Amino acid sequence: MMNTPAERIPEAGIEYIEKKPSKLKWALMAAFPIFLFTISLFLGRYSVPPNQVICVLGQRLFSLPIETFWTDTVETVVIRVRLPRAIMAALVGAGLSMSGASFQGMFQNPLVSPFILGVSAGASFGAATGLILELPALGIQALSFLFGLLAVVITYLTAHIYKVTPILMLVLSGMVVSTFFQAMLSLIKFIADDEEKLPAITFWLMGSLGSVSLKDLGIAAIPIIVSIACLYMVRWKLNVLSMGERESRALGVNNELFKAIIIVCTTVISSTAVAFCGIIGWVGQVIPHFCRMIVGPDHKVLIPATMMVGAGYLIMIDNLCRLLTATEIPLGILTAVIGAPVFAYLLRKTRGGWN
Amino acid sequence: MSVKLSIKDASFGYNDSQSVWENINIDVREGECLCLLGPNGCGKTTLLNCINGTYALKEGSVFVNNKNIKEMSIIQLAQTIGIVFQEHSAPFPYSSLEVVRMGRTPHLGLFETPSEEDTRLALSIMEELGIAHLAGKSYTHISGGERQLVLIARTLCQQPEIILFDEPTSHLDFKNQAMVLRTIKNLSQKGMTIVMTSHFPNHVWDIGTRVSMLGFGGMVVQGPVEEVMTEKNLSKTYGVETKIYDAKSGIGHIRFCAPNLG
Amino acid sequence: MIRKTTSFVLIVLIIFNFCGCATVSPVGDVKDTREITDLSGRKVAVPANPSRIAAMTGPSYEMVFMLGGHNRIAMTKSGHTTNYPLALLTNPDLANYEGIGANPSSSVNIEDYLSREIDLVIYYNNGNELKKFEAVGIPSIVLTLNTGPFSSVEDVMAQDLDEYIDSSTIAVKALADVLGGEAVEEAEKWGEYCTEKIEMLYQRTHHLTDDQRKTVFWGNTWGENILASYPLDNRYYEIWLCGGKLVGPEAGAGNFPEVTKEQLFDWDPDLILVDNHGNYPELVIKSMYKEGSLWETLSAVKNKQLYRIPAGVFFLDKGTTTTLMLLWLAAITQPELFEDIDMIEEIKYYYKEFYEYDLTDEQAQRVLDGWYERLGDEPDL
Repeated sequence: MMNTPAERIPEAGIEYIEKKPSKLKWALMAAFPIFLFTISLFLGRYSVPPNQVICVLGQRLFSLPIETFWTDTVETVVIRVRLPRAIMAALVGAGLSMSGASFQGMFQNPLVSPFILGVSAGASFGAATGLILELPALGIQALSFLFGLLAVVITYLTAHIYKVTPILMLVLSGMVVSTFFQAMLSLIKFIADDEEKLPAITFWLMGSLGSVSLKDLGIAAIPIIVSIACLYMVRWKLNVLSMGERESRALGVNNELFKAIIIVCTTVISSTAVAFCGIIGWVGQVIPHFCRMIVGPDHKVLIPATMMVGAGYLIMIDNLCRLLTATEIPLGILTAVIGAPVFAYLLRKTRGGWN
Repeated sequence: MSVKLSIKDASFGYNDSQSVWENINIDVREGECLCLLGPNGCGKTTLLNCINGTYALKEGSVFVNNKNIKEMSIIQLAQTIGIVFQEHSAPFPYSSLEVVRMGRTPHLGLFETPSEEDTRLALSIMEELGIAHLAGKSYTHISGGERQLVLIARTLCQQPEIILFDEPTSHLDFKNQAMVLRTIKNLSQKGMTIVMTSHFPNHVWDIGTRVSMLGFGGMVVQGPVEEVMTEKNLSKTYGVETKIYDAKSGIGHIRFCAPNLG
Repeated sequence: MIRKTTSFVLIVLIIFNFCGCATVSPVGDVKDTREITDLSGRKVAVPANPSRIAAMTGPSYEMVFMLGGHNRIAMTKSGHTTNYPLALLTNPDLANYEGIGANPSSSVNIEDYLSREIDLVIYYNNGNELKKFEAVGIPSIVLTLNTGPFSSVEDVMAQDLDEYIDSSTIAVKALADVLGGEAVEEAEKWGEYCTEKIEMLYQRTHHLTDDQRKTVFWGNTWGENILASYPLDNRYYEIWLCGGKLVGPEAGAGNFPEVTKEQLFDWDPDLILVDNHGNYPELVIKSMYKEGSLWETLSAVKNKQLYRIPAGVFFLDKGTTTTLMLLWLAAITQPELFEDIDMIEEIKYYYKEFYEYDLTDEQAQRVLDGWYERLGDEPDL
């Protein structure tokens, strides 16, 4: 056994050598989503005086003894329109960013998106099927969620050989499954010959937080929060996993268990997000990359960073979607229009992440 | 001294018909440094991977402290056996300290992250190996030899009872080879049980106490260094005529072998 | 030996291919044709007396029907043969027409048209699909006028009454020109009717100030979604004619831009029109009136001012019946100004005059309520 003379290292030495993000950085990163969330509640096309916003929230959320002096519409707008939308944006932004970061660690590649295993292709197909069958909103969400899960299950089983699911097999299976469901989606679009259905499918695919209600939030919040919590708890092990499966196994990591945990969590998050909000791309790839520039690659700090920055980012973009014009701009379009050039810039700056 | 690691009647193959090697029997006692020699493709690395349980043997068993490794969990194995791979790069620019600290994984629970104590241990090990100055540097930016030392430090963080080295000096230049060999020698002298594969028979005289020569299909010969390292054995194992030279110099007695290039 | 056989087989295949081409003969090249310019500006050689018409756009069946040309229709958009009870009542033959799917972005299967020897297609302004008709020699006309693009609401309102009357009647007149014969007289009569009614509306409303006008929002243009509306188009003028003021997405992408929830709360329109085009308008209205609905604080909901657009042979706001719809809209927007309008009588008059059909009072009321049936289950909103 090695003699471990830990006393020899002075306390100050550790702080100096280990370049952890400063407290200021953490404060800024935490302030970002909190600030954006808060001001979202005050902003909107329907003008609500700030004091009314505060009082409505105080009375309805915190049961403070405030007498109602505002109109019904004000209460509806703040509690039933702005609040669920902001919360959902935060959850989806945080969830997709953490999923992207987790997958990038697991697949040992800083360019991977959380949709690599086919979840978005499957969920799109599920939603399109629901739309074409004219199911109620809940049915469309359920089908979308289920097909998102199904696509990943198929990917996983296809890649599973001799009790292990190698990373390369997962990537290839994901490509195959995605292609399959995209083809099925094209088939649905082809069949949808009514004037109403095809634009409905197209608009749904472009992604939007506009239709999120309190009820939707109640259903979607729990799976997302639980999965986020899981990913947060295993974040340090992602460092080990990212060195390669051979090494992580040699270091005592049960690769199969961890891959399964990460895949399940990211799939639940992505499936739920797509089911309620359509396809929101370019968040799961851009935010982790951006955060790596700020806090470094250590997943112990990267994962919480992506959670905070991702939440704030999506709230910010969604605010643009709902404030710029009278019409609802599809979220997926803005995340692409803003995200893709930012990603290109980050790629150039970090030279693909291979420092 | 007790037998730390024991491989009994082992054979390995990728399918039922052919075997890479068979009838392998090796005993390694506590504190010994076993060098595993053999030509390319005879399965030295495979044997190492079978020892730490990454690959499954077709026949036979591996025993550590008289316990069959099949009965040990992945974590127990990692706490007992450490393996140092050949240095390589990483997909993300972790600091060297972070890479070394990963060695604490077998001692951490499912959701645990390393503590201050773990960090201090990692740093002290790096200091002992003389690489503490690399702690803040990015692992992807240091030299090959330094990376190899970082990987050794990582394995030491596992606090294993046995360390396996997979060709630790390939890809390294003269100076880095020396750095790594010196480190391994120090470990051995402090009492660590070591199994090391190598392409360089000369390393055996530098650090080995026992030698196993592996050929295609099975063991050629094994035993104490003095007995086994003969011209005949080396020539037979590598399939090329080899000569051994004795040299006396100011610092002592040095032996080295070299192929006869005619 | 193999090479010879292969070449022989190849030659035979090539010959058969060309034979296949030869069996497709362009339709109508022996009939008389004359050249017209359709509403999208295309020059088309149409037959002098088209007798096998495919009326594929939404409003086109009703338009041909009103002009007396229903005996000359061979094919129409699927759904029209089944979903409009009054269309079936006024033209029992309709059930026997061929119905195939069509929408602005769907792909035309040209053989469907060739096998029924169609000699004229009324179609959407989709260049790629129109090319298919041209390639086999089937004349195709587009009857949608690209009004605009208007750059702003002021732009729309800048037109004078005659310009509006012209642009709103031009499609029917162009179609009458193509159909020829009686259709032209019918269109004249119809044009006079529209002019008279529109001028009546104008007389009573053009002096109204903004304060005196009710704000109107036009929703449910698709997707059972009250927030989906129309982009900048003539509706702004039409609502103005009715004594209202339209609020909507003045800049909008696509044909059915969706406004944000807050925007609708901000406008808080006095009246909300629920279009049939978005499906299940009655269910959309029901869910908005339901207790606990998101919209319960809107004035229009509190005052029960949600109105489904009427439907008879077709949706009342489309086809030839737009003027009739404006009468209805004026009556609900400015009830005091238009007390004398009896919609039941107006509808009966129109059906008699232009569809040659006697409607009962109950039937006329059903038109007002939206007489339209979709097959299949209704979704639970």
